[in-house]
Amino acid sequence: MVHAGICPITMSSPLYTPLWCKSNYSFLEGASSPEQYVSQATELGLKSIALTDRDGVYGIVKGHLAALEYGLHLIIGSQLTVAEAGFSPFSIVLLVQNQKGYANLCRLITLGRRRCEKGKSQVTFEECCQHSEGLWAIWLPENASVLQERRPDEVFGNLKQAFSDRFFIMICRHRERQDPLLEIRARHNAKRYGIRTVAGLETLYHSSGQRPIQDLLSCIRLKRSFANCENLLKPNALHQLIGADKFTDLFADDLTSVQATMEIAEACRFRLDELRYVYPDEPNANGMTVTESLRAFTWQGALTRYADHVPNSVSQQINCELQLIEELGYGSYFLTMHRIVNWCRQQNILCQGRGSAANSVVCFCLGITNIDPVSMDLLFERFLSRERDEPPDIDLDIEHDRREEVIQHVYSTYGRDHAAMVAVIIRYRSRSAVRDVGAVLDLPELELQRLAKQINSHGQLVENDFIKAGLDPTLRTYQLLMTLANAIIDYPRHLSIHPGGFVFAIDKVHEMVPVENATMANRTVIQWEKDDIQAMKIFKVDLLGLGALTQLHRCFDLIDQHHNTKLSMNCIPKDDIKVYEMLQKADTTGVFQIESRAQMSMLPRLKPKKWYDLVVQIAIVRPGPISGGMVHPYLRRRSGEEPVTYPHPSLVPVLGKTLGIPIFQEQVIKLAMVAANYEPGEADQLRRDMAAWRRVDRLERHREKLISRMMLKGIPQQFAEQVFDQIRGFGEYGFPESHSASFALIAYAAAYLKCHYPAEFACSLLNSQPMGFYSPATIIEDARRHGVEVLPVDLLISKRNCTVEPSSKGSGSYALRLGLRYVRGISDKELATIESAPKDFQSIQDLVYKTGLSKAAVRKLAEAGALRGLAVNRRTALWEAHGVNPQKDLIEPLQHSVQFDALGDAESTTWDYQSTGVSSRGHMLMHYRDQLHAMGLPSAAAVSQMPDGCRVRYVGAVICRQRPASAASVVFMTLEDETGFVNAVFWPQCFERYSTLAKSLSLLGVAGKLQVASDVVHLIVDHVWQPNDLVLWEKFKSRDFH
Amino acid sequence: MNHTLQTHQIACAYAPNFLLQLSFRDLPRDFRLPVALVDRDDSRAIVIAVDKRAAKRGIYPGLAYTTAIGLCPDLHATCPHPQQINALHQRLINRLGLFSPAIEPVAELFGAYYLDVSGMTRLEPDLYAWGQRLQNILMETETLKVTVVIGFTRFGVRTAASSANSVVLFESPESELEAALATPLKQLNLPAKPLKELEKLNIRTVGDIKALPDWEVRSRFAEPMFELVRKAKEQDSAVRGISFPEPYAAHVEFDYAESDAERLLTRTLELCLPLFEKMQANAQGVSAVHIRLTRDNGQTGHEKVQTAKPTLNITILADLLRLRLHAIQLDEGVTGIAVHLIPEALPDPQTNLHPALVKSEQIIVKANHAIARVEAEFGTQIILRAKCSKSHLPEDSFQWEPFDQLQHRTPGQPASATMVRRFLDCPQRVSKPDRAALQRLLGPYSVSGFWWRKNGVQRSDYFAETHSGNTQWIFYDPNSRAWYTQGFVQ
Repeated sequence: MVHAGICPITMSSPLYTPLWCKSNYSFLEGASSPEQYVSQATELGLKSIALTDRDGVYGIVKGHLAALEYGLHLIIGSQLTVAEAGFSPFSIVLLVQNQKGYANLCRLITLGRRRCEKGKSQVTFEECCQHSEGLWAIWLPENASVLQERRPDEVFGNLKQAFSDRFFIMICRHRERQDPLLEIRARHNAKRYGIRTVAGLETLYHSSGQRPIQDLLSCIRLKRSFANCENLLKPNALHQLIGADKFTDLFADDLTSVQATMEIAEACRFRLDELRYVYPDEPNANGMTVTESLRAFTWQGALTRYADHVPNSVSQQINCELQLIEELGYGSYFLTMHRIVNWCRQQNILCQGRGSAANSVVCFCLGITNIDPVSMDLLFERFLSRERDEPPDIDLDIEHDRREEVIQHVYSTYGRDHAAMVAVIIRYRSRSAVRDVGAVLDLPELELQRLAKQINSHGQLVENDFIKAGLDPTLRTYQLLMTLANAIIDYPRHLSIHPGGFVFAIDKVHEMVPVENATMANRTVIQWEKDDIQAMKIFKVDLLGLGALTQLHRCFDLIDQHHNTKLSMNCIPKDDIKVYEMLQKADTTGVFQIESRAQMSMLPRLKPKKWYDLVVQIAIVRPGPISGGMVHPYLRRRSGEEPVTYPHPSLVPVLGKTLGIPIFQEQVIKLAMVAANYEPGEADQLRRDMAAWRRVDRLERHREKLISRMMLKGIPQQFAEQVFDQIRGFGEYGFPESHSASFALIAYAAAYLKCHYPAEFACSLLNSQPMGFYSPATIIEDARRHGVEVLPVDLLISKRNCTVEPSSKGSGSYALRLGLRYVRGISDKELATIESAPKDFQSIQDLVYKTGLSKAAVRKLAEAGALRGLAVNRRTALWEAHGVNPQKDLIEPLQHSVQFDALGDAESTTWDYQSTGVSSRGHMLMHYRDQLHAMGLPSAAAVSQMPDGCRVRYVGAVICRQRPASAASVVFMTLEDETGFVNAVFWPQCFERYSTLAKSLSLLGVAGKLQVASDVVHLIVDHVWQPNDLVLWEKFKSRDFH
Repeated sequence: MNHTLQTHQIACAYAPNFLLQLSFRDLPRDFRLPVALVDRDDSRAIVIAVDKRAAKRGIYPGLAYTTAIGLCPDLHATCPHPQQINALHQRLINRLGLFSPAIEPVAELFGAYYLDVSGMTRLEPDLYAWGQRLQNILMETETLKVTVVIGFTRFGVRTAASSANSVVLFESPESELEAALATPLKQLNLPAKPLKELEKLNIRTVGDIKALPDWEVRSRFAEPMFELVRKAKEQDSAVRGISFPEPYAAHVEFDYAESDAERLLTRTLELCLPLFEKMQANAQGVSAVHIRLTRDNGQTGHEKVQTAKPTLNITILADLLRLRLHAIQLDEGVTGIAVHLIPEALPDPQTNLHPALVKSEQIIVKANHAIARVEAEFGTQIILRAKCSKSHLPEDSFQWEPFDQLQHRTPGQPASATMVRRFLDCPQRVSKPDRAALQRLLGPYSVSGFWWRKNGVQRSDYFAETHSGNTQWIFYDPNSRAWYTQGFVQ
């Protein structure tokens, strides 16, 4: 029978449309990417294809972009899980006819996802019917069992009523044993309820070669191995995308159902670019338009920033930027940022814009950023350009422990309907692939773990990895493991949440893209990731947490409290000589961005004298400039050892600020524009290709163009090639100037505080942990070296956090009192109880009775020495802590039936480290100094005074191990004692030889030759030993191979 | 020196690092990689013991496995299976049983066993030599290194065994006590947490903890610590040995080779009758009889008959034994018979009181007796039944399993009325089906995959309905490019 409205078909019209295709964005189910489907469909001569991922539209942007490229019609849809209490869940495929239908689909998916835990979804039957407008529905044959539970009249009657002629029953022929029975039932129902049938296949991969991947992914999803999953996998490979001929052959007896696929495809013409994204208008006071508001706020800010005297150049730039913002319709976006920043200020939350936003004077005037781009000559076009036609992307750094407040404020201000967080699709990397594939192959986990340790996390698995793990790569199982693991690298695994990316929409966000629950409470996330957002030209705001801002805020508060001095980011004295002297000596432990070993090694060479030097300092110690060979030429030119020259006069304005050496990413772009006559569009493409640094091929395509054009301009080939190498180096990791400048502001503020308020600085740093490069123990040691008295944790005095109190030394100096938070094993609740209780405890038993502290907590306090006011010594306190009874009201101290010896000095320090990770008594090695001295071993301070070429033996605590990618397998270690640091360098051969000791010991003996240059001291290690004589040693926490 | 002692004595044999030693048994002799024992086979594994090579590379117990392989990428981690451990444990008990009448595993020390050596001096005048022999036997037979301590109290020998290297014989209770008190607590396999707490208080030896008041220890630390103090103070030397139930077994040797089945049956029943009496006293019946026949040529044969239900009915047993003995070759003659009756509790006699139960039970018993007779005549596991299992492949869609006992039908279990697919033992090659000769050809139903196995699968199945109404199950195998009959549908 031919249904009315459908053209009679003949054998000459064999086209069909696959309507049920699941990509690898149906996590761990589909085995081909949307791009592969689109490309294969084009190759097969198909005109349309539907992408119907399970309970989501995660892959449609990628599919849409590919479809545009191939000129294919992509039907948007999804396979929805319908479930209600008391009935088995079933699936229904919904295809989008028009924009209304798309909104309905997104709404339905959102409904299903929001009510379930992460990773699951279920909508009700009724909801499906209610949201039918603009959607076509297909009943799947696999739902047959549902009809045994629910009345077919109810199911088909309601669906037919809701979707009318847009409701079909699918006939599937996968050549499986149950197919005939399912088809009989489907045809019976179709006939009985007057529903049309449509032919289809559940397509899970684009070509049959992907079938093993589909089997594998299914096993991973079902958490089964191949051995016990056989009957749960698809029985054959007929789930591939097939051409029209094969499809028509399969349904030769029912071409009407084949033709129905074309009818549906013809009707479902909605394209993703029809989606009209509008950024929400910000509410304006006084009836002003968005442009007027923005203009008013900007000029108001400009007057504040420039003390009522806005320079002409700034005025011109403001007008120019405002005009472009108005033209592009981005005004509201800037107002939103302004509103968020203002709210943060009202709430006393430190925040600062970073990244390309710092190139905008409007952002500066609105208080979003703190860099004056005009005075710094920053390129506005890097932030916003007419040619690029890309929405602005502003990153806002917020105090890390208060970021959640800002996020929840955004939700409450704009509503969850209009604001949601951006997703991150977690993809397989080699290690995760090995673990999951190995489990499916039933390999022992211990073996997999060993193998995973050998793998480069961003590369492919190679035979050598197996050999290194002691496995035989020629064995079939391992070959399978290697092939399959490599095959699924980059496959989506699950959805996660972007660290701080928000999208806003005037319409409901969940009508633009489905929204689902994130793992974290009160967080909702959209189903698209950053690249999708960018492709759809949707505005994104990044609200990022930054520990350094938290620390600065805390430090400002402490200074206000103890010195009655109100400091802020804006009023810290500029160009303080003492600060720069400190920086030149690399005395930067705990200073944001310039505290790492590499940065510390650079500081005495670069010798920063002004703020802009810090901008360079932050940008130059990066893989880009290092591998581009820019560091040494810059340092030589800076110290006057080398003349400042330019390969072409046109490059003077571009490279002038950095002595003719490109250091910032913007300079590389400008270089391409000036030296190689790159058009803005080409330059922008270069920027993107640099950003995608893992795709080497993308950058290589610029090589010929850049070099030849530079040579045409008269630039020598050698320099042209050098420039390209530098660009390639930047591709790996280069810093934009604006970004570096934003960080330099924070770095200078931190350095100022460390220099002038060391106790408050260390205290705020300790209270903001975890953050930064160094452990609390190293921060405390550094504070002590700067003359700060460190007082131990004491239950009767300490607060939860570390505090600053007048020092016993007098002369107005301040001491740092360790906080109870550093006592390991005390819960937040217990800390709050202790803090709020009156400190009038008569004994340890009394403490327990009054606070209800657990025995374990009291033991921890005793070990940490925090009960010094309640017991004779720590061992006695610990014995008493073991014997306390929370039920007993025993005011009198317990009769001491057993006496314990007090701890020795070294023992006390060990106990400090064991129970708090820090010690107020000093460094562990302090107790062994005499012994070390007798052994002829110098301190770090002594080593720093030794001459170049001197042979040194040294023992120190390892606080950091690094093997930077840019250093050709050289390992750098920072060793510490009570007097400072020693930087040890291990050449690969030496490290290999002593790798066990070098990797495992926390107290290490090293010997080698000293290398001293520009006040930078390195010990080039040639021998390593274990200092066995130092017995009482608590393992130090080191920061290894990050 | 005379190592003979006259007072009440006890010994403790201890295999230090029992699990690590067990792991080494499975490794090749020339294995040179560092080895660590971990507590489980997953990524959260913790190292619980290490060999010397691993220790040299900085691996130590308590380290996370992930950290360990970071330090030592070629570390060989091992985690013995509980079955392996139990099997060795059983074997050790049996072997130790050759050295002492009573063996008791030490509850708090894995791989340690108490042995009762009281009165052993009459058999073993030199107990030190006895200990060395025990040590040697366990090394030779199980490749297990053990320490043996002979002393006067359970606590003393167990404590000393933890720190001894070889064989230790205490000459007096005083010397044993002195050694025990000096033993470091960390050698006693005590729970790690309280041990660490005691170390913090500088309480490091048995003597240190023994000096503390009992009640103070009990209120502050875990029970094992209190137990330790309690045991250190008592003088217990009893070995609460493992009791092995007496088997219902008997044997007889002939001074000639018997080849007549009936006479053998008579001799077998003669062996069984006294055992029946013992069983009756224990309210038990025979559920199976194991027979070992020693043949004239020195070889032994094992036979088994199984009863339909536990019974003491000699007629039923004689019937089954007769069927079995007549079914085997006796030409060579039998020179000895050993029987071992497997007991089972007799059914509740009250079940025989209800007429309805009696009837249904009788039917089942009769059927099961018939099965038992078939098995007695043709061998056990001769009757199999197919159990359906889910699989895409026909040959994997059922499994044969032994069928010994018929059960009552579960209430509500429907009787099957679907069509039955019958498999041929082996698919038979046929010519390509002639569609004209067929009423219908249903299919193809494709099965492909299993690519991870050595030989993948690819086949297309059809059901061919002939004009005569028969349905053949055929398939095409693209690998051999041939058609086969898989079976029939009835």
